Parts: sequence; C-alpha cells; structure tokens
Amino acid sequence: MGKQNSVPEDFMELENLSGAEYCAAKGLLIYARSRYSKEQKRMESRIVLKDLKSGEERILTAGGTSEDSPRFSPDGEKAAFLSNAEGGRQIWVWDFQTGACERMTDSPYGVQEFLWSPQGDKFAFLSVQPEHPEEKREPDAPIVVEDFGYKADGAGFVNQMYIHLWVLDIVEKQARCLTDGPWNHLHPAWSPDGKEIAFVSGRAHAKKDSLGMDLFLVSVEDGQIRQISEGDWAVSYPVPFRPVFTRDGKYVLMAYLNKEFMAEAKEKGYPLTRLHRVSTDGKENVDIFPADDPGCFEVSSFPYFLGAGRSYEKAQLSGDGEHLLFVSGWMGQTNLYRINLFGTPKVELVAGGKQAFACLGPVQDGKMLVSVAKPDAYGDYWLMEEATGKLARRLTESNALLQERAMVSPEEIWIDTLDGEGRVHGFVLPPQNREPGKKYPAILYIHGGPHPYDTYGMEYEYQCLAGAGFAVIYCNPRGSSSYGREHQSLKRAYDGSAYTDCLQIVEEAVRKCEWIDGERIGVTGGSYGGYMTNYMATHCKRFKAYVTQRSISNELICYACSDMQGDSSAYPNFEEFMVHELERSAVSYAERVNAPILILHGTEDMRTPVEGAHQFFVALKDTHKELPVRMVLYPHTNHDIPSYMPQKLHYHREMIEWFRKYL
Amino acid sequence: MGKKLLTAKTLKQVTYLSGLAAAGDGKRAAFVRTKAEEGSGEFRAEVVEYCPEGDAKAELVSLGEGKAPAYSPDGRYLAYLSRQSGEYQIWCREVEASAGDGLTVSGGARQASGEARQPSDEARPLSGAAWQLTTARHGVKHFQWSPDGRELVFEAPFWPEELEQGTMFTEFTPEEKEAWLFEQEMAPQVIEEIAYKRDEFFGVQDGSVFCIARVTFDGTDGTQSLVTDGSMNAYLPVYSREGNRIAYYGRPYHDAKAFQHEVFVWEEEAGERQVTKGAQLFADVPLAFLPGGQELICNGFYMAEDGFDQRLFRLSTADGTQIPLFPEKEDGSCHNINNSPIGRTVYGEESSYYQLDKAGEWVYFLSAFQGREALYRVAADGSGRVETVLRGEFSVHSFTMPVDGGLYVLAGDTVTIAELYRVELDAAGVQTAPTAPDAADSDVVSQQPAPADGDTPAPAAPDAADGDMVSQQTAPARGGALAPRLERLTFSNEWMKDYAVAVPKEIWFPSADGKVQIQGWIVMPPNQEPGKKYPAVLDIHGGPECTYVNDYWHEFQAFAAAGIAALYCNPRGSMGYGLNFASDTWSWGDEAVSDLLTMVDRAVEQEAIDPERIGVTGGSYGGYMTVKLIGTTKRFRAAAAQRCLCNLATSYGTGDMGFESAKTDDLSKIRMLDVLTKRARTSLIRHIDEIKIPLLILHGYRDYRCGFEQAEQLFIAMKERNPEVPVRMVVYPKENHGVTREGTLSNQISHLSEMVNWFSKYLEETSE
Repeated sequence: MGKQNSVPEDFMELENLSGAEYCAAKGLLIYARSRYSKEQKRMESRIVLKDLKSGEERILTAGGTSEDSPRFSPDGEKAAFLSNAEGGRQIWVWDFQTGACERMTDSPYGVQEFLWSPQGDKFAFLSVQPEHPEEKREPDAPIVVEDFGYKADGAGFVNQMYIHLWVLDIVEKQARCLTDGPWNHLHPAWSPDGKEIAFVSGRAHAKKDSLGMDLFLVSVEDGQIRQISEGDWAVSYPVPFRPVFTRDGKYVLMAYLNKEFMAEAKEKGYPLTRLHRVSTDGKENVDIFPADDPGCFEVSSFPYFLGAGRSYEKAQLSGDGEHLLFVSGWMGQTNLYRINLFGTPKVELVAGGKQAFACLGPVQDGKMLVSVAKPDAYGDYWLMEEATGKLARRLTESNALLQERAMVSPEEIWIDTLDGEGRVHGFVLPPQNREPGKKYPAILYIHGGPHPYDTYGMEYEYQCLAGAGFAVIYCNPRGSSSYGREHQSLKRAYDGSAYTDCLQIVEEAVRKCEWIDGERIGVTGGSYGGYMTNYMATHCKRFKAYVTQRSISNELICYACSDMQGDSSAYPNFEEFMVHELERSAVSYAERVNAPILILHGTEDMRTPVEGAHQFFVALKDTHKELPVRMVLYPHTNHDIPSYMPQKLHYHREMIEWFRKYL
Repeated sequence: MGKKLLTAKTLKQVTYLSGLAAAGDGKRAAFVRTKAEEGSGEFRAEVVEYCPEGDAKAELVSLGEGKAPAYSPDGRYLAYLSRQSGEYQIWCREVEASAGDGLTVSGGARQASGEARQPSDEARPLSGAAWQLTTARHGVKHFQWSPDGRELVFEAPFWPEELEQGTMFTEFTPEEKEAWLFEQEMAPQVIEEIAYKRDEFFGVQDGSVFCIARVTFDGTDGTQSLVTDGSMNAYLPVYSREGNRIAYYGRPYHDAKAFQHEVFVWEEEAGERQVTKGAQLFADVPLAFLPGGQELICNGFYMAEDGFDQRLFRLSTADGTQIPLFPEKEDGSCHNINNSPIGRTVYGEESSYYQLDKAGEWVYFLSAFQGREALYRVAADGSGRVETVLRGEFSVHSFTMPVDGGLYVLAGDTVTIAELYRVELDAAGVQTAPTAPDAADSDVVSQQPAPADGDTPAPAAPDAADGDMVSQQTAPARGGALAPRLERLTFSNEWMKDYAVAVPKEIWFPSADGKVQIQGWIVMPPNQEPGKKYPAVLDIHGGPECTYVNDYWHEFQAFAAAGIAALYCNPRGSMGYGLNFASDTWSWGDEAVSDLLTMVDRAVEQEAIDPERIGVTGGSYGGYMTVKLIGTTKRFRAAAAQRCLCNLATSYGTGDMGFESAKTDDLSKIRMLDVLTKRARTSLIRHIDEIKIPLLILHGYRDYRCGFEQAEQLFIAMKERNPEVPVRMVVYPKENHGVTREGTLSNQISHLSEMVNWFSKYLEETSE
C-alpha cells in the first residue's frame, strides 16, 4: 500500500507519553512527552499542557531537558512537575495565573516522585538519603557490605542509600524527612485530611525477604510511624501499587500477596494479588477480593509491554466512593474493573478486550482519564465514561509517524498443553507488507519474568522485526500471569512445561500460517526469555539461530550475584546445592548448542548478572570450533535493552542482522 | 621510647624508587622516584639522576615528571617517558656535562671529594630544556635506543582505524580526548574470541593493537614510522648490537592460545619473521641479542607435575633451536632465574631483571633464592656455569651492568624501603656477603640439610663453609645498614627514623613430613612487653609461584605496630628453593597446608604468641589458602580473604584463565556438566558450613583474574548459611587484581586498614 516498513531508526522519532492528568474543572490535560533529540544525542522530555476546549498545546518548562510527572494542584490553578533544570531532579511549580515557574525543593540526591496534599498546601515526595549523611562519600570510594540487599539493578551498589519520605510546606519551602533507617519507603498516599501519609516499606522485615513489605502511616506533624498491616506482603513487586484512601479517611485499600501462598510460590504458583481493606486504626485488615471469579483473577496487572506511558496510577476510587476501579490482567488482556468496598465482593468488567489500558486517573464528573494502547498503536490518552466503560473522547494523538508505517496486528492462537493442565495463548505478528505466496522466516520471542504476560499493547521492537521480514511468534506459556494462579506456576515455568508450551505454539503458528517457513525459525528473549532461549539452544535441535538477551545461564552465578539473590537453605550440604544448580543450568549443556548464537547483555546488569554471559560465551567457544558464537556487551546498561540511543540502535541491528544471516 | 607507630595511613609518606638505568660508562645512573601528592593522593613520578662526577661532588638531579629513563649509547642524552603533553611520549634531555666548582649541591652543603652523600632526598632540577620526540596518539609504553643513538624503537597501542587513516602519530587535543574517551566508554563491546578479557586490561580488551614503531633522532626532532603493521600485537622491541635487526614478542594466535607469545625478528628488507613456535615464554622484559645479531637470550617457563621454574635460553633466529643456559642439574646456588618476589613495598615499573654484558659472555640476572633476591650471572655459551655476583642480607630490585667492577642497585631489606646503592665488586667480578656470625647469636633452628631425593637437590640449609652461600644471620642491624661494600646513595624515607620499625626474624624449620626445610619470618610488635602474649596473623603469599624475600613490607609493619605479630613463610609450591619445591602438586595439595600450619606451630613455640588468637590472611592464591585453612581446620580465630578464589564452578569463564580448549584439541569430548560439576566438588566453598569465624572479604570490582563474583559467592554463602558469624565485604570499584600493588593510595590504605582493624577487633583478648 506504499507504507514503509518499521526500522529501529524509528526509535529516534517515536514519542512516549506518560504521567497524564486531567482537570475537568479547567478543561485541561497535562502530560509528559519524551522524544529523542538528535542534536543533543539524548532522550528529552517536556511537559505539555493542552487546552481541551481549543485543542491548543503548549510546553511548560523550567528550562530542563528531562521534565515529567506533571500534577495539577487540587484547585487546578497550578501544575507541579519534576525537572532537571537546576541542581538535579527537583519539584517545580508553574502558576497558571502569573505564568511564573518556581523551584520548590533542594534535594541533594533529587526527587523521585511527589504528590500534592489534598489541601494543596504541601508536597509529599520521595528522595534518596544516605544512611550516614554526615559522611561525605567520594566517588569510587570503597563500598562496605554487611547485609543482603547491597545491590539493586538500575541503581547499582545501594551502598547505604535508601529512599525516604519527605514532606514540604509550599509556603515555607521547608522540607522535612519523615522516615529513617536502612530501608526504602515507597508508594506514598495522602490521607484525605492531609494529616497522615500512607506508605509501603520493608522496614519490619529482614533484608533477606527482599519482597516483604507492610503498610504504614506516618503523621505529618510529628513524624510518628504506625504499622497498620502485617502478615501478608504489601505489593510493590511485581507491580507497584499505590494505597488508596476511602473518602472518609477510615480505610486504606491496598494490594497484598498472601503470605502462606508466598511460601508455596515455587510449587503452586506465585500468589494472585488480593485487595485488602485496612482500617487506619490498624485494627482491621480484610481481604475483600472474590475468591474464585473466573472473570477477574487479581487486583493488579503485570503486562510485559504496553507502549502506553509509564504511570503507576492503576487504582482509583469510583465517583461514588464505594468502589475501587482498577487495572487487571485477564487472559492476555489488560482490562478495567470495578469492585465494591463493602459487602459481598463482586467484580464487574468496566472495559476490556483487545486493547490495553495502562493507567487511569481520578473520576471527575463521571469520567476518568485512561491510557489506551493497541498492538499497532502507541498509547494515547482518552476520557472514559465510568458507568459504561465507553471511550468518550480522545485527548491526544501521538506518533503520526506510524501512519506512514506498515503496522501489523497479531493473529491469535491457542493450544492445549500436552499434560492436559490447561491452554496456552499465543500471538503471531505477520511480516509487514507481506507478499502473498511468499514464505517467511519466523522468530519466537519469549517474554521475560516469567510472571508478566504478553498483551494487546504496542511493542515497537516486534514491529521492527516484522518490518525486517520476520513473523514474530509470542505467547504466554505457563509461568505467565493473567490466566489464574495455576497457570502462573513458577515450577511449570522451569520444569520443562513452559518449554513444551512454546514448542507447541510454534508448531501451531506454522500450521495456521502457511506463509511461515517452518525450517527457518529462530528464538530470542530477554531475562527469563533469555533463560528459555538458552534452554531451547541446549535441549532442542529444531531452531536455526538464537539471540539470548540478558539471560540466565548459570543458576549458581545468580545465587550470589543477582540483586534477587538465591537460597540454598533446602540443602544441608552446600556441595549438593551447587551440583543441583549446575544440573539445571544451560551452561552445563553448552556443547549441545547446534545453531549460531548471539549473546547480548548489559555490563551493569545486576538482576541476571553479566558474569552469566561471560561464562556462557566462554563455554560455547570452548566446546565449538566452527559454530558462530558472538557476544555484545553494552556498557552502562543494566537489566534492559540499552536506552542510550546509539547503543539501542546497535542492539536492534545486531539482532536483526543475526537472524537475517542465519535464518 | 617516644617513637611513633606505623599505621596503614603512614603509606602516604613513602617515596618509592624504581626503574634504574645507567649510562654506558657506568658512572651516572637514573631512576624513577614516586610519591603520592599531598591532597589528591595521586602518585607522581619523577626521573632523577645520580651524578657522582669523578671523585668530586655527588648529587641528585631531577628531570621532573617522568619515568623509564634510558641513556643514549654515547651517554650524552637521557630519554624518558613523560606525559606533560597528555599521553606518555618519549622526551629527551641533554645530560649535564661534568660540573665545575661553582656548582652548589642542593641543601647547601658542598661535597668534598670522597665524602659520602649526606642523608637527603632533595634533587636539584636539571637545567636546560627537554624536547618531545614522539606524538603517539595513545602514548608510548616502552622504548629503546638504537646502538648508534640515531633512532629509538618503541611500543605503542593504536586503533585499526588510526592505522588505516594514518592518524596514529597525531596527538589528541584535550577536547578530542574527552570526546573519544566518552565514545570508548559507551561503545558496545563486540566479542568473538575466547580470550577477550584480561585482568591487565581491567576487563574486555578495547580494540587497540600494540605496534612497534621507530623515531629518528638527530639531536632535535625526528620522524616516526611503523615497523609492525597492526595485524598482530607486538611488544618490547630491542635492537641487535649491529642495529640492523629488531626483535620483539608477538601474539600471533587466536582462540585459547591468544595470550601465548612467540619471538619475532624484523629487518629492513626481509620484514618480519616468526622465530619460535610453541615457546613457553615470559614476555615481561625485553629480549637480548647476542653480538652478531643471530641469537637472542630469552626467558621461558617450564611447568611439570613435579616442578616449576623459569629458564633462560639462547635462541637461534635462523632455525629456532634453543640452548638452555642453566645446568640440567640444579647447582643449588639459585632457583634459575626467578622474578617473582612478592610482599614488598614498591611502586613503579622496574627495569629488566636480566641483561647481557657487552662481550656477550654473561647474562646477569636476578633470582629470589632462599629469601633474598640476589644478583647472579650465567654463562651465555650454554656451558651451565652460574656465579653469584651479589648476595647478602638484602633484596636487589634492579641493577645496572658492572663497568670496571662497579654497578648500581636498588635494594631493600626487612627494615628499609628500597634505596640506591653503589656496589664495588671484587677482582673476580662478584661480591660475597660478610662472614657468618657466631652460632650463639643465632636464634635460628638448627640447620640440618634435608635428605636429598634423587636428582633434585632439596634446598640445602645454608652453610657458611659453602663459598657464595648466604650466611645465617639474624635480622640485620636496625637502621638499614646493608652489607659493608654497598654504599648507600639515597635517603628517600628519612621520616622512618621517627617510627618504631619491627624487625622480622628469620627462621628455618623442617616440614612436618621431614622432606624439606621451610624458611619463614616472625615479626613481633616493636616495644614488646615482657611476659605478654600477642595475637598473630599468618600472612600467606599469592602465586603460588612467588616467594617472600628479605625486604620491607608495610603490611607486616602495620600489623606489628598494632600489636599483632606477623608470620610469613614460603611453603612448598613457592619459588626460590629449586624446581621440585615449586611443584603445584604441593601448592594445591596437603603439603602447602601442612607447611603453613607448621610455621604457626614454630612461631608459637619460639615467640610470645598466643596460640588461641591467630588470624590468617592472603591475596589471590593466598586468599584461596585462607579459605582452605578456615574451611578445613579450626586453628584460626579470624580471617581476611583478599581477592580470593573459592568457587571454581563460577570462576570458569568469568576469570580470564582456565579454558578447556587450551587443554585439548578435540573439543568434541568436552562435557560442560562434568567440567562444572567436578569444579564444584573440588571448590573450597563446599566447606562453607565449617567457617564459623569472623571473615573479612576484600575484592576489586574490576578484578578479572579472580572475578568479583568470587567475593559475592563467599559473602552470600556466609550470610545465608552462617548468619550468626560476623562477615564484612569491602568492594573497590575501580580496582583489579593488583589493588594492593598498583591501586590508588587511598585504596591501598583502606585495604590495609580494614585488615588491621578486623584482626585488632577479633583477635583481642577475651575473658575465656
């Protein structure tokens, strides 16, 4: 039809919208728009204010290059946002009356997130603070480690720097730190009367339980901290969940992981997140989520990609204050639901289907802002009617470039697992500008986790692979969430079941799509997807090329080097523990790999440590004289695809060229 | 006594001497003096000349910032490396002619003829300008004068694009350099060879290739040109005496052999030719041509199940034949050539440990033997004659070739950091140590020679009746007085006079199985109180093919000053006691463990040491042995594992050595599960549940010899399985495996402080 194929260079043109807020009273929309600046050779983001009556957009800026997280003041007269204009990442306030833009904070380590108080007179914000502020730390000074939790992917060596909760009085411009101690304090939420702030923290847990968190309240006036829930683990992983207060301030709604179920996670599957109603006096903590609703499994969603702007506002009070609106993953979909807060739990679907809802804003005049993405469309903001779930009005139109691209949408496939335990959902993205009658190679792209799920959102990387002439096959094998607790069994993710699930999906894709050349199929994936790629490469002779990304090749290396360190407590004998880890590690079977393999890894990866890449590469080279084996390491890149644009383009090019050459 | 105590922090004050070179006439010498700058703590090196001017004034003259001094063959010029223009380039100064009477020695005192130099380290700045000879884009690593002084050959790294575009001799502007560094830092590392990373590179190799190049010299500027073309890494070029050939090391191989060196020779017309194939070479110092230019003196290593040593040999460039220079049967005067003394306070690149004399008759070389690094010579004709040139209660770090019976050395002893000395040899061209002291003065365990087994002589206990052998003195007199005919010329660390320096005491003892004699030292705290028992730390050297010698090491002093005795020895597996003693069967077997424990037993017997309060530490192999000892014995009360190796299943492929394909050509037989499982089952970390004593773990984050992940394996396993045991890990973000030798000053101080504090805390007296 004359449209061009997607190429990785498009990443230099694409826009990412995030953090939007809608002010019904003023008819304003505000959001952050991130784009690559070719002149400055870096990603830059700016705040866009849109007048919804006139449709006019203008940029609000403090003069920085990285500005985001815009938030209207409660009265809609101001907007606050984070900007790197002066002294690091600080809160700035734009006054719509005067047009003045003023910096509010002076955090030595920058502000990570912030919230207006309901009264509009204060900010609550998170900022990192060193454990011993009086000691000045030289860069590259020796790092002392005495406990678990000393490294965090993305942050590097934590080195006694922890996230703390602060409050700033807007008039006095004085900031006070409300928390202390060697723990992180996350997901703040103001009580409606502005006297307390709820937050989630691991401060009552041992460092070894890195996912163990509880809900706390801190008094703004005197800094008194009260723990109001214990036992079940407040959810920060797998997805951050901000606590929601009821309008009368008597309860906090929060997502939890059942503690008993956590202990059985490996066997029975990672527990589904449950919604609890916690009374602010700490006396009541009730699980108000239905036990077995086949239409909604949990109170959160963990999609692998959305292409719909990072924001973690995923739960809001309904207009009547009696319900909670939330985003949840269901059967590969990322839908909006509503649940009542009192009485017999009942969940209703508000909006769902073959599109992904990333976030939602507060209900105003019966409508709320939502972000909607599709496999062939980046997320844009819409207004949705709360009562009907109907998309009433489109608020943004980003990425006009995609109108000129031969975007494709996936076909869907299902298979019944060989062991009869369930069904697996898969997708096949055809090559862009597919020529009828022609056969194409395919790439099985296995998602990471294994806990997230592939959904009906945008992953432009897949469009680029489709643009390069490959079909892209992706799926949600066992281990993936959104299909119920049993399906997300960690055990099944690692015992070979997910492996056969993926193989079945591939055969089904070949059967259904006669334009796929079944002899020319490659495999890739990152993190758990890289683990699976390595597993495939060492157990399967069916595929013709592999690209393993930030992968796990040796569990014994992850045991000590990952920021989610391992656990040998089930073994009275450490030697047996080591041997068992090796037996279930792909590197131990490196000699079996029979197809060209490319290893991609970030040097600062602290989740699946880069040492695993080094060892796997050496083992492959040590056991193969002729096989093409190549490794590319990306400096200053952690557990992700590189974000530094020259590296990112290099990365995508490496993958495409490898598959082009060997498929 | 009013003297101050040495601490880790005192390292700030140390002045280090290295890089000794002499002019052809043997009169003047130059060396490098390094000191940490006040404030920044960065090491600053300067080139210093020692000028004795006949029998008149003797003084030190400074050329300013620089290193690696080398005199031109006619003695008129001194070339050296300096980074005043950004990178290290070859710079040149005209050497001062003999000074007239009007010259004042810095410090004010005029030196009359015959007077020894007064204690002072001040150096007068050399007059005259220096000029820059090279403009290598990324600096120069090594260089040599041609025999006629009309050109210099050098080694420099370049990037392939630069060789293609011809920009290799264009220096960066500071802005260009900054942009280039950023680009390098962010550049994806594309890897297709198995030997792609190395601890010496702090990780993955950067894409540069080391080349040989030349620059002409006519007294001012010169023209630079390439010798090698960048298709292969090439190092350490030397001219033949005739000047028409250049020899160097190259790395022609890929895959697992990529770090194997071969010898290459280059001539103007004929170009480059590979001379050796499969030679096991030590490629750390330049080769030496014999007169005639057809043969070279090389140093190779020999590793067998029953031994290890380094061997000089004579290599024919015509047909590659090798003639060993050392006798087939060790004559017991040295452990062949041995450049691996360890555990001493030094900084800066040292000059070559072997040199061929003018006539091509003798190769002078250093060998650390039975606790002293001494100077020897071996006949270059392959007849196997070895003679001791200079050996005494000191260790020689570097030397100049004897001219008319005199030479210079940089040497240290157990209480003196290395200084410059003048040595006058006797008529035979050798110098022996002073005679043995009274037996009654000696605290040393009686010297029964161990039974000699078969062909390999056991390290014979030294006997004063044996010609050149060292005598068994007790520790040398305080204040650093070395053997009488060594004249001390520099006084670089006079500040030490204000400090109480502990005196290491040497002992010899039979191993537990009676098969060998072991040499060790005990350093009791200075100001030892009578009747008091002291804690001690067993300090195990790395390698294992290294050896402790009679030299100053600040680490021992810091322990002793903190009231902790330092114990050290050379267990089986160490160098310096003959071929068989250095077998790795012992170092990785029970023998090394036994010898170390026996050292502790002897120390407790002989000195006021509390056997219940003994700690253990060591780096690399020493760290490995620390983990081994604390995992398999209950002797020790606290430990510090430095850059250790504890898990072989994770060190495979993450460290830079140990490829399976290096051991066999038939890769199809390799089963990784068997390889890794076997490694796991022989790893020290399998004893983790036995480690119940406080453990300090020190490691550089950029260590690629024993990867940082080794420290994490040990730390996480300890925290997880022994949660009640104190464990502390200290990570050095920018350091590699050389943290204690080449690390920044503040990291070296931190590293040592951590250990002293750890042992002070956990070896203190309890109320048991």
